[in-house]
Amino acid sequence: MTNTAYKNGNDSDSGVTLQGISLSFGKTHVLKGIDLKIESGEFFAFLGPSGCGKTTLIRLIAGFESAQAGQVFIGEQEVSHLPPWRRNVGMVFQSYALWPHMTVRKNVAFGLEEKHMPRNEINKRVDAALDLVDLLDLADRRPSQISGGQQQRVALARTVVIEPQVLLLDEPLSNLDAKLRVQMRRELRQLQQKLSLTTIFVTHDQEEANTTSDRIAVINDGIIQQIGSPMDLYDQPANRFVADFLGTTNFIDGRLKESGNTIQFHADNGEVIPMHDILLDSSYRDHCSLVVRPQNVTINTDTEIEAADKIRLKGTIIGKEFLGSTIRYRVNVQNDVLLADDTHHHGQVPLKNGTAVNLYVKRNQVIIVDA
Amino acid sequence: MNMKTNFTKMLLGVLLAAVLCLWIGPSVAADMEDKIVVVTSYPKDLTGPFKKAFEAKYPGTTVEVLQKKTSAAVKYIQETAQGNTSDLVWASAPDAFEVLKGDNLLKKYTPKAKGIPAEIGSYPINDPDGYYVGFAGSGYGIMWNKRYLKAKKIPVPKDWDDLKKPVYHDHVGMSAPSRSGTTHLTVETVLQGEGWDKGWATWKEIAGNFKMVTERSFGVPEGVNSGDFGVGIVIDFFGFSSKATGFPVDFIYPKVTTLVPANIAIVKNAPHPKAAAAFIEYLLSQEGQELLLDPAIRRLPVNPATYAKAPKDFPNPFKDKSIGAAVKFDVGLSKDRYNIVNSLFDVMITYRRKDIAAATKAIQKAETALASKSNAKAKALIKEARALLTTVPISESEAVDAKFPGVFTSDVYKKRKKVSVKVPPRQAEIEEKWDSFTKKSYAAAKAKAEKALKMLK
Amino acid sequence: MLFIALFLLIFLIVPVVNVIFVAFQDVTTSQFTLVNFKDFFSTALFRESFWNSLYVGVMTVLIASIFSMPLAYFTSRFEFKGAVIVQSLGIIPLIMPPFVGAVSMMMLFGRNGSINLLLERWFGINIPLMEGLNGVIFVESLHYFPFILINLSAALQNIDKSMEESAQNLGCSGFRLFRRIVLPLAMPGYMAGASLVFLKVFDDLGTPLLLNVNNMLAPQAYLRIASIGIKDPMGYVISVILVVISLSAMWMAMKSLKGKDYATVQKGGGGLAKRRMRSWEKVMAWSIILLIMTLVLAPHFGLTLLSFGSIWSYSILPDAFTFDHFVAIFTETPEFMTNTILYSFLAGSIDIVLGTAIAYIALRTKLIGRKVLDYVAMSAVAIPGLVIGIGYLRTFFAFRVPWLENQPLATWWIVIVIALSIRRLPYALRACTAALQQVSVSLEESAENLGAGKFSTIRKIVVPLMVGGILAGFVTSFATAAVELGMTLMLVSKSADGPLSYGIYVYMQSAAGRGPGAALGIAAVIVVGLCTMISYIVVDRRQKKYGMRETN
Repeated sequence: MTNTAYKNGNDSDSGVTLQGISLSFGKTHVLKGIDLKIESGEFFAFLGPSGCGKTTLIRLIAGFESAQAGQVFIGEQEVSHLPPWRRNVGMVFQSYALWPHMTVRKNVAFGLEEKHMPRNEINKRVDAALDLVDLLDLADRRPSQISGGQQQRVALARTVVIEPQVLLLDEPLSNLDAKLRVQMRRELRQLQQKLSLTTIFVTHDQEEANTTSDRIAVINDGIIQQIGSPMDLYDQPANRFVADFLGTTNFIDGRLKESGNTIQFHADNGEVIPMHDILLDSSYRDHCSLVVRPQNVTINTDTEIEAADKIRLKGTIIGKEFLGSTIRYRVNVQNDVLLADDTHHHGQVPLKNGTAVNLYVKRNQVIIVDA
Repeated sequence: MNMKTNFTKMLLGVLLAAVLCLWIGPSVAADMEDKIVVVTSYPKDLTGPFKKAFEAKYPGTTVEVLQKKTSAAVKYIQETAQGNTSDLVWASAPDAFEVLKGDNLLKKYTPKAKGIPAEIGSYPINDPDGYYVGFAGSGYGIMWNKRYLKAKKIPVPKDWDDLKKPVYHDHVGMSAPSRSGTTHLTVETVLQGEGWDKGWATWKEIAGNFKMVTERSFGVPEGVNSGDFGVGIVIDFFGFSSKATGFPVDFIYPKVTTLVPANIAIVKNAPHPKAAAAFIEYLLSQEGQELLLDPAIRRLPVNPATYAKAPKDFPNPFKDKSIGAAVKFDVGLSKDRYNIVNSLFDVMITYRRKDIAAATKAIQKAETALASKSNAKAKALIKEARALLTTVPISESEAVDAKFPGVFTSDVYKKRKKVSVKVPPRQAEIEEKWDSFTKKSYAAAKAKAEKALKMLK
Repeated sequence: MLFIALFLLIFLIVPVVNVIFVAFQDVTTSQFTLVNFKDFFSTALFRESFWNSLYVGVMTVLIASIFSMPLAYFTSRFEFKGAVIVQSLGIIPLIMPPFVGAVSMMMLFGRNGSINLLLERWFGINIPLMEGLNGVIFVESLHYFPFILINLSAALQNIDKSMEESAQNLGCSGFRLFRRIVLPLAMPGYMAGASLVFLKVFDDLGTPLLLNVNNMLAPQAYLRIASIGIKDPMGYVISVILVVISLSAMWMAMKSLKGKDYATVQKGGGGLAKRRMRSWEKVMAWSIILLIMTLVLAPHFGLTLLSFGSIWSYSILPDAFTFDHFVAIFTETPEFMTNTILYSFLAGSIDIVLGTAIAYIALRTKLIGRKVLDYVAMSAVAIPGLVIGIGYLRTFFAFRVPWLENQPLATWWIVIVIALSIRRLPYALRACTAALQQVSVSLEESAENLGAGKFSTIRKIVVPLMVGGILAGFVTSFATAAVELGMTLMLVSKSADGPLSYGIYVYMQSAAGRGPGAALGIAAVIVVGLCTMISYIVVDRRQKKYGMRETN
């Protein structure tokens, strides 16, 4: 499957730049000063809960919304005032929006017909696009006669066939079942790499974003919370929202205090934890949280190791969940509940509720965020 | 009272299921029945006052009025003969009564009222066989809208021949005789007065000026009243009552017309014969006759004494012998060719109005041109065109129902007794022949007239 | 089920079959024959009537579409303040019987109507808007265009916004977008409306009759059957042809809709993308709406003038104004109004009971023949009122009603009610079916699961949830029953039993009666309009209460 026809290539800059975008619907402020630069050829995700403004943002790039303030650039060209049909931005809709009165082939050919391409050229390209998504044999069916996954691929083919500068995907996997979703996101990623197409992907599912994207912008409440690679975001969340939204997290609320040369975290529950390598950010020092992922918490019943690079907390098991590869214990530490993951091995007997345990966390695996 | 009837209805509706199982016996017959059912072609304006007055005079007896067009009323009586629920038929056209009489659907009745002469105009008031009774006279004539004629600068017509003139082109309305018993009489009167061929020629030349052939006889006064067309051929009371209502219209009796009685008859096996007879007697009473002078009714009373109370401009046929005396109307002849005349009129005029109007227009144009320039050839052509226009597919002697046995009178629901009986041609078949003949003649007439016009230019 | 089937059999199938039977009978031998149909097609007049009826049907659909398209487009595509007006435009014409409208349209647009008198005075021209077939087309398209408007608007509103956006995204815009995406997607809805309009126009008797247009099929059938002596089977043949054409029009519409249920609204979607109008667009839109509104209100305006006018003859306005006509109808013939309300109410009630039952049987049971039942009930929409009237007379005359002095059943006023309910059943059935489809089966199952029997489930769960739809069905039945003429004219056996439409027709047959007739027409408009409005309010309130705002 060599599709040189779709090598949009990076010979022209197709990055997307948003500058100071603000948008409100009536009194509701949906986007509040968005600044963002997406590189040419990048697979970029907008991740956030529903209602955060991510769909509005992608529709803005496509031209379906217009901002009260700010500019949109594709490459060097400002497109803020171009109507959707002049932007050369391909969008795959959440509902796929396949036209029920046209066959698969007609759907895919539509965009090319609008460009008044010669008929034989259209046929050639449609065939290539359908081949790309492996649907050549269903070309004469109607959308209602093919499965959800196939519809999804038709929508994709319909969009890429016009060779857009930017590909926008609005929750494209949300209407598929779990297994198909995993398969499709892999295919999406492969396709994007094959075409080196600047792609923006909107999702509320962190796993989807993590597995497909080069970089992610986490959006909440109309504001970009953090931009970074999936691993950066997970390991170094910039704030409580990002930490909480990506993966399962323990939060211990407290405040930071200087004690001589060291900085100590005084938890509200009474624990005092000395910290390393922490910049003292004055803005939230009196009201912050210590963040630690459950898999970074080691649970131990017998030996008490005192190590300089580890934090030790004492607690009692109050509950557990069996997750297959791990057992997640709920541990009461000074009336805070912490989650601790323990790898599960075949035949291993889990700890009983009420067992007194020691929890260990490596100092370099905790971070402090605003509360 | 109406609230009460409706309450009863409501109850009936609600209790329908329960009532289905019950059998309620007929109410105890009083000396005079508690109601009469009158099938009539007359509008509310006429029936209303009589109903009111009669009910006032005979409390306890209700008059139920069933308004239908004459033809539909006859059809209704025929259809319901087996389970007759009607007591009286009350309508204008004597022909309709002749049809019912012929089908043996009427009951003989001799009125007791005094002072009513034997004839109105030249027409006997009561059926000589005693099946139906005349209660008022009606004649046929021409009605026009004064504002319309004034605005279009059209002269007021005086007689049938006036309506043939080009000045009336596209201004005249008439109803189809097959749909309206009264109109049938008008057509038949002219045919009898002028003779078959000349009569049809008159009708077709007038028809060339038709704006409209209406389906309902009231369609004509309606059109004249609203000013949709200026002149209408109508029965007198339509003209009188429209005028009385205040419309800017007027009416005139042409020379060839006939006064015929409007009639009432008791239906055979009438469920309420006593009340029905009382109603007829009331119609003929001095009181009932005077009701006819009501501005909304305006019919000619059959009792000459009543005219003493009539308004000044009210025509009195018993004094003014010029009205309706010119033609001696032959009811038998009319009856014999009733369906054929109607059918011919429909085929030649009603359904071919556009064709006849176009041909007439062409002839009128050619004649106007001829008036200023003489050309013998063109004159001959125009004459031929007129002849074609006025030709009739069948002669008078052919035009008797008896010549088409079973075609126009056969009853679909009468089962043929024996298969060997010869099957007559179907009406549709014959009408189709007439129609193609007519269409051809009109087209030829138009062509000839146009040719003549070309010569004259 | 058996009861409903029997009801439909007796009051729909038997009368119609009876009519068909006569059409295929030889006049004299009463044997089966096709010769009547041969006669029909070899007679120029009938051929002409046939083509005229088709022509009027098609042209009316065309003109009605021209009226509806911009209105539907404005409301679905733009944020438009006139939406309320457009909605009411969708109801106003329906509450007036078209044959009543015809009379007043004659006074306004006729050859010597107000408009032409003015035009003649100012410009010396005369527009033959009401002449012949034109008049029928004009009156009918003004009366029936709401059917297209309502269906088309609903169809447009059911097109998901993303359908349009994805096309824009692929470079399509403006009129091309409308032609390539919006129009094809709205087509099924449009077809549904258009076929209905065609059916109604094709069958309508009153309008051509009052406009004195006789060379069409419905008037020919009526005239043939109602004429003296002429007892040829042509009236019945025409009836059969009316039925056949109507049924095939309905069948064609159904076929073209098959597999094209384009209801594309997704969650979070909803309707075409709406945008604000630019100011010149606003001016355009408003002038189109005002023009259409003027036309739509013209019959009502004309009727009002007639009802208050003393004499109106060859003049722009009536000579003077008076209340007399209204006094007349209230003192002389209040029964027309009370009869109408009673008949329409009973017919509407029968319809919703039958409609709910049939909808339930067709959707929720596995009874054999449930589809047939549904189809038969729906097919009534394609049976001309005239044919039903004729069939009833034929069928029920022989049947005596023992408790009514042994009078034939066909002359009993209840028969009018039944005929009305049969005629309007399809409307009620459609509303009930739609309502039932919105009630999730799981709601019933959970009730049954909690121990409720079938009957009490229907009574306590299904019917209360369907109430909005049922009421909507009642309203359509009620409103349209009040304005039926063709059948009423055939079945009313005495004036005291006549409903409004009959009363208007009778009044209109005399010189002095035009005013009161028009006043009665106004009464009809008010009665029907008021009932429609009340029911809408009730439906609306209920739907808000249940949070069921799903109907468009």
